[in-house]
Amino acid sequence: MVKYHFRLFSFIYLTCITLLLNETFVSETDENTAPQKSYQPHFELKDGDRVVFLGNSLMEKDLKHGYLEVALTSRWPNQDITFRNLGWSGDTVFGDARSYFTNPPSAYGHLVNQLNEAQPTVVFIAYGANEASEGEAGIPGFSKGLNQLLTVIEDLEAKAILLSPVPHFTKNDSDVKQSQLQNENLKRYSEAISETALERDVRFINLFHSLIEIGKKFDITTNGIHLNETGYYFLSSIIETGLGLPSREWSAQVDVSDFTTWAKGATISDVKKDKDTGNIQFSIDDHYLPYPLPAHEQITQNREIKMTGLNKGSYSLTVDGEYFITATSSEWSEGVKISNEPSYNQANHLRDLIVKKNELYFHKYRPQNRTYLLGFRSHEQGHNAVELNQFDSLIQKAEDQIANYRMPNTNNYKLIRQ
Amino acid sequence: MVNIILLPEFKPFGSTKKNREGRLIFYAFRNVLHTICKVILFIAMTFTAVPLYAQDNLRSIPETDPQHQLEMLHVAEGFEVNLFASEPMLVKPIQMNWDAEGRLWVIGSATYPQLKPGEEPEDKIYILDDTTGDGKADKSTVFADGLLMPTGILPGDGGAYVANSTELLHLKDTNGDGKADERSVVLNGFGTADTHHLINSFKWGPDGKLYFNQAIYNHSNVETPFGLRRLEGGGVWQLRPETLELEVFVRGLINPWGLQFGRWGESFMTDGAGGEGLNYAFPEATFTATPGAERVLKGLNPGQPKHAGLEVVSGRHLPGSWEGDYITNDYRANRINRFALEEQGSGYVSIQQEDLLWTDHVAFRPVDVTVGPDGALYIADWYNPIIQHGEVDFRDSRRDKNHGRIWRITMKDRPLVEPPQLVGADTQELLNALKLPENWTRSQAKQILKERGAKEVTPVLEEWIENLNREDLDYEHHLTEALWVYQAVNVINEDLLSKLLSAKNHNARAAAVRMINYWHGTIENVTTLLREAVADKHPRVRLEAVIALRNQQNAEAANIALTVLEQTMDEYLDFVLWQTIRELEPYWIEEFKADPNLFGEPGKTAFALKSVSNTDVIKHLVKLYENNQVPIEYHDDVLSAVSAWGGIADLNSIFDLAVGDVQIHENGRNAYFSALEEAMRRQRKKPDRDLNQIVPFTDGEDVATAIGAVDLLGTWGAGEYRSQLAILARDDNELMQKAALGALSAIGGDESREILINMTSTTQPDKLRLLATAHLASFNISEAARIAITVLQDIPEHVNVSDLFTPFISQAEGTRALAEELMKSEIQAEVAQLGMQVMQRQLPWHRHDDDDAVALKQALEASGGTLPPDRMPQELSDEEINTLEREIRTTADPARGEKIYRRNALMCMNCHALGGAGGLAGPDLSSLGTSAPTDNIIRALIAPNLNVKEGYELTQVFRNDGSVVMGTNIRQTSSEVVLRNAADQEISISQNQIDVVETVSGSLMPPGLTSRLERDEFIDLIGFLSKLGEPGDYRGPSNRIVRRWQVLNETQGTVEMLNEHGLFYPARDSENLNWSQTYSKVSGNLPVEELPVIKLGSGKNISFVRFEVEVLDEGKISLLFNTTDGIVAWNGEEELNLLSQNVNVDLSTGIHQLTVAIDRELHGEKALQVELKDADNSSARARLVMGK
Repeated sequence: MVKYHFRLFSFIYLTCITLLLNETFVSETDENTAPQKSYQPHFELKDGDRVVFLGNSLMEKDLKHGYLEVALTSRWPNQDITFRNLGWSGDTVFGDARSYFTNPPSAYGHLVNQLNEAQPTVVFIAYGANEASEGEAGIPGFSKGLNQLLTVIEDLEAKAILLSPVPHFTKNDSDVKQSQLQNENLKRYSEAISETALERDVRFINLFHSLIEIGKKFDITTNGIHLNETGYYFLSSIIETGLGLPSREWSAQVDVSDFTTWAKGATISDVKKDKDTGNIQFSIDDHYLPYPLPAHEQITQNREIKMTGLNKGSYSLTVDGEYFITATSSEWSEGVKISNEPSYNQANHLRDLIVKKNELYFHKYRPQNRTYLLGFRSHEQGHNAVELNQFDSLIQKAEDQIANYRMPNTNNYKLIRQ
Repeated sequence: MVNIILLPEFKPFGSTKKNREGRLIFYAFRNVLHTICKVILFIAMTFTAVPLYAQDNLRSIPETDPQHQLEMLHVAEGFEVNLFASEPMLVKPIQMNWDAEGRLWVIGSATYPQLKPGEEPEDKIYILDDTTGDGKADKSTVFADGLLMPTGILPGDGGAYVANSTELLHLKDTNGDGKADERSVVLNGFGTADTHHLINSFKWGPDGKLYFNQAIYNHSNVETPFGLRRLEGGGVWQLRPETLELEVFVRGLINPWGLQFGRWGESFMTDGAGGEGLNYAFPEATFTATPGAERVLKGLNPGQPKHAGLEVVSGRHLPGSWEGDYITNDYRANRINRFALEEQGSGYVSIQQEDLLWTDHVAFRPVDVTVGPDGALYIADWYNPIIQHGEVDFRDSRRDKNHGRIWRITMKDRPLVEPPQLVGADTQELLNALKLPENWTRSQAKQILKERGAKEVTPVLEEWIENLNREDLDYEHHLTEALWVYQAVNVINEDLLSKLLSAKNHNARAAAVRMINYWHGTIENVTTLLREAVADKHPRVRLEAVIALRNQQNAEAANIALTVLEQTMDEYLDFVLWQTIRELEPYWIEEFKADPNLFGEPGKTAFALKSVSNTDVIKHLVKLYENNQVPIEYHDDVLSAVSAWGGIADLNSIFDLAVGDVQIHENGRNAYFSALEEAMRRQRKKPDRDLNQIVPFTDGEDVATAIGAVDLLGTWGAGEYRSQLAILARDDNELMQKAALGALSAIGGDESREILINMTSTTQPDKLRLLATAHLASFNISEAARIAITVLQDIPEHVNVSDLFTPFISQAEGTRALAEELMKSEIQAEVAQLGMQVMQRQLPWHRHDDDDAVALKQALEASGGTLPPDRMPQELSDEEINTLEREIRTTADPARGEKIYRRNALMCMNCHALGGAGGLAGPDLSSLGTSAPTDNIIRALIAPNLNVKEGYELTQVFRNDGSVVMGTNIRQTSSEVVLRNAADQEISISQNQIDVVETVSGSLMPPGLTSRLERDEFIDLIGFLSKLGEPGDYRGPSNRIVRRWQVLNETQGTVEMLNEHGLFYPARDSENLNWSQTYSKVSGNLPVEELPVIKLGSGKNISFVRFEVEVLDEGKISLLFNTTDGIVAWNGEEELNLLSQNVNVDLSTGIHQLTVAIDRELHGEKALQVELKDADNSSARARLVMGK
């Protein structure tokens, strides 16, 4: 019998959803991204890259979750990559939601200006959810707008990645019909985006089908249309998979009898046995930080330690000196799943920093009182617009802190015989 | 300084990795660099970030002690006021609402108006509790903080809804410690482009829905499970929080900061930047400043100051006679207003009552008002000497950040209400609470019932309804409340609905019809129900029915809606029918084309056809019109529909009428000529008839018709009539001259040019030379400039040449051309000076420094055209403004200032209104003094472009012919843009003539208007302006006093006609006389001594004035004259019986002209005042015509 004493949270070990993702849903994703894959097998971000998230609420709402940015930041921890979220509730490929009382610039003009000012090298684009209510009839206009936007991004010499809309989930029974209708439309628009992607040789990630499957098992939206924290957790893993990035999971194995080690997704080193106590020590370097775990679902990622050749008995594991879990030697030899070791704390902290940085950037690019600071009443308060530039140094500082937290640390493990 | 530059945290997470060391050094270095950069940046900022308007001695900042403020509050007779709570229990309250426990939830923002970079938003929700029941809060709990400029708060659904900038939040305390520990975003995507326009005024509707407002500059795009909802500009949102169904309930208003529901669910709004008092808000009501609206509703109190917050009086504590009155805050003038409502037709009349509270304490800023569970009135006092948002620097240190008060107003000697215990009450008790007179109690009980849900509530509710006493006077109100409970718990009860549809009380029926609208799609026989409701005997029920029909989406619904025309109509019914017909257009238009008798009766057909913007059906409208089957009140609408949408055949029909002998329209030919001209302007279409038929009318007896015909020839480019036009250009009548020359230039071409050039030769009359030269500017500007100089050089001195400069100054090329010509030769110094004056008046401010303008100024100066130095310097330093302000405080004479304000030369009244009367080009100044600090008023006068009020933004329209029109935007629809220019004229530009429409910064008000004033005059003028709105002589009385007048000027022949026909003549033949605008003083008095005198043959000295009354519902009204000495007055042509000062007049619906003759000897110098009053026992509804 395994006794789990989780240090921070007490929850039941449930499932390994990432595995599920890789095995069950990616096939569909693969199907949809297959045409691109032949052209763009490797997605990589480099030092100096500026990633922009552009779109409707799907992007805007990640500002507070930070999942997309955590995923990409921690993927290349040695690189200085910066992120700007330009998601805007209600937005369309024509930037309709970015309108102000004043014209010019037009709503679309604002969108283009915001893109220009963000200086992207990579742009993730999530549109179509609002346009979809126009149904079949709206598709030609939508595709035209999407193409026009892709040209703007090409002109900036940035790489575009297109995302499909997310499906509509029913929150109460009376909406079933509305939800079905909306999903048919959303699917059509996903296909339209996919076609545009194919025509323009742009990477496309279909979120629609994968999220429908996940939605059968988890509550992933706040209101049927907007993802909640759990939803963003899954969203970032679908996107990583769609980008062809390897899994973040790892498993490590030590054969205590001869100190041979084996690991996948992490590096195991410095295996030692204390002659007096018989305790085993080893270090593990994660290749990537894990995703922070959503608070309201009991989810763990697959991080497994297997210890073979142990004498019979019960063994407790400490990580960086803190007690973590106890299991029997036979359970250890089968492999024990672990979660919430210090790298999760670090990932959570990284996420907090990212969310804070996002907030600062939000105030800078979408300031309150825009009318008076930058708009047509700037003759009244335009002199205060200098304050907006003061956000730059605050954002820079926040990014420096993010840089300090994105690299996974070596964790020292100790298996203590009870 | 060290405190401000936070050293970057340098705390890498662990450091066991070897490869980190290099990075650490890199970071350390980078951090040092950053620190250095930041220090530099900070130092730089210290010098550059000094506010534009440097701080002075914090003038006019009152003492902040609450006791001191309390002593300065004057409350109406019979009431008393006490302090319920003040800082530190709360700061900067913006909205407040009660919970079911009787605690007051208040939202406050010290961050407003703008978050500082690096500062964390720390705005709070306070819960104030009076646990001892002594009328003072003794406990303040911070329910939540860390909010960013929250502007709305409403307890409910186990927590509270909060407006938090782009988000609508719901906060909950799940562990009972009194503080929110759960925060969810209910909706997001609300606009924040202006933080004093954020979503606000959270209220529960009677239906359990959450209603809230937003204002003009904010555009919201909200994604909901039912689709995207957009609201660009002002309006009211309606949300069902359980399902997230979100709709726009009302559109428009500038800054609608105030919303309230009456006892029967009727709703009203106030506008913090508008000026029409209460606004009657029903579903899809559309008010001013709604983007794209072709038609908007007016408020109920035109000419009122701006208001924030709104509450309706209910319950047993406040006086019974006040029941149903609305209380709102004139926050600019530090006072609390009350309005009594009366039903009138399908709407209401709102009559202002005496103020509830007033004070000279300038920081008293009542922004919200609510009746508490104890029946007392509670006032949220935002407490701030500065209220202006954009006009005063965001960082102005006079903006108060630390105070805030809740005042409580009670009636002396009247018991408070003992509120029932609602929390924990059983369902039966909650239902019984719905019978209580206090709105607070019923609203809270309904919320709790909603939260309990249908399963628990409906069985008890059914029984409760069954047991209601049918004899109870309020029986039908109880049933209506029950209906709302069903709606709130989302259960349909058709029996109850049909019972209420046949209720005796029309309010109950109106509420029930609205419910049909909400339940449409789920109940049966909607069509039958609505058919009956449209024929209801009460107009408000009909109004709701016409609205409800929109959801039916079929031609039959349009047909049913039109049956409302079978009974008396009024402005609201006309509006909603127009809206319904338009919304249903896609469903009836095809059927109508197949069957033009679809609507049966011609009057209904005409209404439908004139309402839609549809080219295909105009021919049917024209046919009805030709057959004289269109009701007379639609005639103007028919002609404007034909101009906008008619085809050639339709225009031919109008043409035939215009030149024929039979005219259907009461204004005859003139109206047809204008319609044809308008059609050409909007659609570039003209009839293909023989235009010769127009020509005889060009020299007909009626000058106006002749001019109309001449204009048409010009508009149509009828070149073959140039010679006739050339003759008309020499007409005796200057208006005809101008029209003919205008037509010649409109026709254009070399022939026109030659005709005009000939008219400029020295042999021609001076006036013609001038006019012809001005018109040449549209042909060849250089040639025109050359000729202009010649004309200017040799025209005799006595001829006023100022109009000749205008066409050149209005365009950059013209300015340049005139400058170039003037460089070559000289004109007389006096003429050059005149040119400078014209430039000063007419050159738009943003062109002042353009090369062409500078060149012309230099050229005029070279001819000796230097203007005398400004008497009142127009460029003032901050120090000078401070000095001025001190002098204004101590020496200004506001009475003298008002006289200066009224001077024609200053033109203040041309553009600004006081109490609604005056020009509309600029904001109404009624409470300027109590809302703007004196230094701001000074700056606004010397540099108007730095100070533009919302609603007065400049719009610039580039026409596709290359010309530019600038003005404030009145209306922008799919077919036209309507601007108001600096001369306060409305200019309509058809969309097909427009390249670009831009909003640009700047003001219509020219700078330098006060430069000709002496310094002491300037001081008096500002003294007057800074007193406007303060209690005393400079606060406009709230009753309906005539403020907008026209006065008769003597022109050639006037005296003869008066001698011949008698005093009665101006009342009869008014249109042939010369009237000019004048206005009453702030007090409402018309200074008789300022009026022009006409000396009659009899030796009498008479002044004539007239004013207009608009009657909405016919009947008897009353006029109260302050004196009848030497006064004779006429209603139209009928003399009033002025035996007493109070005279009753019977008036039909429409606008009526009332003319007053003042015998100056008999009357003396006493000012004249006339008040419009309701006559006893009369149902007439009338208002004074306001504006310019």
